Amino acid sequence: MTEDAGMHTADGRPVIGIVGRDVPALLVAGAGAQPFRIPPADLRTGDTGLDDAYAVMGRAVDRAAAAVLAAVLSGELDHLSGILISHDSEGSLRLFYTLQELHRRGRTAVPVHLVDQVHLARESTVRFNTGQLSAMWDVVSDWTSTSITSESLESSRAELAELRVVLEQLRMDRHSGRVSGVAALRGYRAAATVAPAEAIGLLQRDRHDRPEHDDVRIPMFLTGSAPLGDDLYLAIEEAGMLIVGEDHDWGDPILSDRLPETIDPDRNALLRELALARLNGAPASASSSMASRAHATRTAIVASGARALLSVVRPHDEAPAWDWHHQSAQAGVPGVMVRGDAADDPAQVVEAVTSLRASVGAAS
Amino acid sequence: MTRLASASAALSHQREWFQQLRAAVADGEKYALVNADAPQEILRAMDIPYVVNQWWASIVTAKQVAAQSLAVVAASGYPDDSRQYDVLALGSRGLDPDQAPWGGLPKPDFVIAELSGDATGKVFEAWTDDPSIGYFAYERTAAITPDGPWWELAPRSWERVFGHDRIALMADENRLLIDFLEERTGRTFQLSKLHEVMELINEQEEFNRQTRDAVAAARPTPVRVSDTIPAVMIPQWHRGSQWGRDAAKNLRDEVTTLVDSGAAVVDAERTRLMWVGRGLWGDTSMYQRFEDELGAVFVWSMYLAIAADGYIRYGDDAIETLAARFVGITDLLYAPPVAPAWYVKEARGHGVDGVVHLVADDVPGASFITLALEEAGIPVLEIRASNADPRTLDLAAIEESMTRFIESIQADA
Repeated sequence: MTEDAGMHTADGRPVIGIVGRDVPALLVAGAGAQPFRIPPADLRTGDTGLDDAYAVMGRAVDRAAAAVLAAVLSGELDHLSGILISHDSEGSLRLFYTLQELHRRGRTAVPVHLVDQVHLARESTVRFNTGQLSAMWDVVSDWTSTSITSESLESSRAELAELRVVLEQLRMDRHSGRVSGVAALRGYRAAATVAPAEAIGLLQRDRHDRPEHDDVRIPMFLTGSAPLGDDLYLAIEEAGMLIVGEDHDWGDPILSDRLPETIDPDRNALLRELALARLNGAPASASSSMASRAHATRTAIVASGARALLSVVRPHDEAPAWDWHHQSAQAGVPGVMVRGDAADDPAQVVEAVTSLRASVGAAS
Repeated sequence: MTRLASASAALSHQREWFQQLRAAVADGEKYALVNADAPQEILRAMDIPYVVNQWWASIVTAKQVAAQSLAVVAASGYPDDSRQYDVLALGSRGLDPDQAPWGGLPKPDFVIAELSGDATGKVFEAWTDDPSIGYFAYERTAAITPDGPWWELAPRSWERVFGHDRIALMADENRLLIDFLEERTGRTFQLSKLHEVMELINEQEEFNRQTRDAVAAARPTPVRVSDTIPAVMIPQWHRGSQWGRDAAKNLRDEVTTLVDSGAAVVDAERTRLMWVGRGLWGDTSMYQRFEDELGAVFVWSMYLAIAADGYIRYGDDAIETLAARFVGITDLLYAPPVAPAWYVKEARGHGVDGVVHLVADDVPGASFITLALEEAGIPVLEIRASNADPRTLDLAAIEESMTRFIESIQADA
């Protein structure tokens, strides 16, 4: 985490941290800052930083949120001008309350702001979310001491649009078996953590280096908790399955939140468009109905050509376990859920993958 | 000391009311199951019967069929270790008839909840696996930092506590709920009726405020928390009815009479305690032992106090006023910095010597509540447990740690 964040203070631009998918990077970039979506480290119990975070937040919280708190408490994110936190899950909300209180008490250096995007498909929700984005606009302008203008937004939009073209290509290559799941995961992470031009360079270099042959592993769709680091993907793919799609917020759903095609000069209209873009994007587990998740999973499985469904659900990440009943029933492919402490144990995940491979073999 | 007459009356009323509801539903009346953090006043104004999810969960727990209810949830394909208190009602629908408390919860026609946490919405959506059950959800927006002590501002200056946009969103949702209910029941919402309901609630909560103030000022404490909880909460589930208002008045009258007569739960009161968090009051024998053996008595729980401070709202627009009541009601209990300051205010107001803090899995900011109390010089014992899942409760260990805690307070006194 430190390496990614540190790289982008060198060019003199302020860096603003982001937690969650609901914060539009466009507004951050439009305020002259580098958006840096904070990737939670895969800290485990016994890690001093994680234990410190649990001591403040309590242990009954998703480890992803505690890992971000641990990073803040360690001081490694002190160079950030601020952190924008999505209301995309209970873990993120608790992280916000905690960081706000710690900052108020003078225990942390970095200011935080909650981007309270809620998620029902209603006009009242769109109005509220638009107002929240307007507040975010003012906050990031204040943090960077830079006014957001139509010109700055258009420049940022063009950069982000170019990056999305490369990410779309990555997704298509992945569906055709030419890109591994872990490579895709790293690509999405690069896009969210480094400057667009640099991310494009990384993605294009990676594309150039790909092997000629198609992957012969069984294509699989991953649902459940967003992974911490690469280890989960590596374990699954080393066990003989290829992750061709996922519905967590560090993967394919990033592309489902559309960028505006042009910058509306009317601030409120633009913010409304951004609010709608997220509301119309792929449903995230913690903020969506079970029905919408099951439908989205089925659609993504068909689109990606997946032949199996695996759900890996960390302790204290409540929502995905609720989704599973309908997801698995409607998936149309064999599925397995690994939940709780087992989800943190690579051996048990591999065991589930092995059993899933056998189910796919029996079904074909 | 005998049980409060107000508590006995409330418990008796609740049994009678529930049997009337069962009979009405059997006759074809439509009714709602509603989560405690979602507005119920619109249902009251439209004369649509409703059961509050958390109340029914308390009955399931008290009748010791929570584990069986959770097993039903698991058998349905849903997790039995998530949102356990919220899901007990759903699970209880699958109990054998001879196990079901009070004859069993009838099938609701619609369920209503606020989307708190990651899974409450899914718990209520699970009801719609039966497609004849409708579901209305309220958004759950996040707490903002109030512009002053919320307990002073909320009754009339609520935008300084909750913010304009949050209230406007919930007011819009109140209007959508009215549409939802009119469409499904054929009834017509009348704004004047909602005004009446809101006035009755303010009267009820003003009585609760007087009761809380009387308890806070009394030395020794005249009533047990285990008594005031049903005497306050059952009328709370009937907010907006004349019975609810009158029950709160009766409680106020009874408590002030006890105070005036010098009544005491413990004659030689040595240690006054505050219980923060959801209750573990199913078995009162533990508390009796604290009283008898240590002279320690719990003088505070959130149920009376939040009724006193959290619900009163005076406004001209009933829809907006209702939104201002509910938009942050849970934040007042749990979210920093809103909640911690209130607990400190209440602890000081009641002159407590120590706090037992039940930290549940699903609440934010518990450590800041503990911290604020400790910074105010009040010792705190944290207990980590779920009040919904008896499989995780070790009451013997809890009693032992509480005994040590009380003894340490007394040793330091």
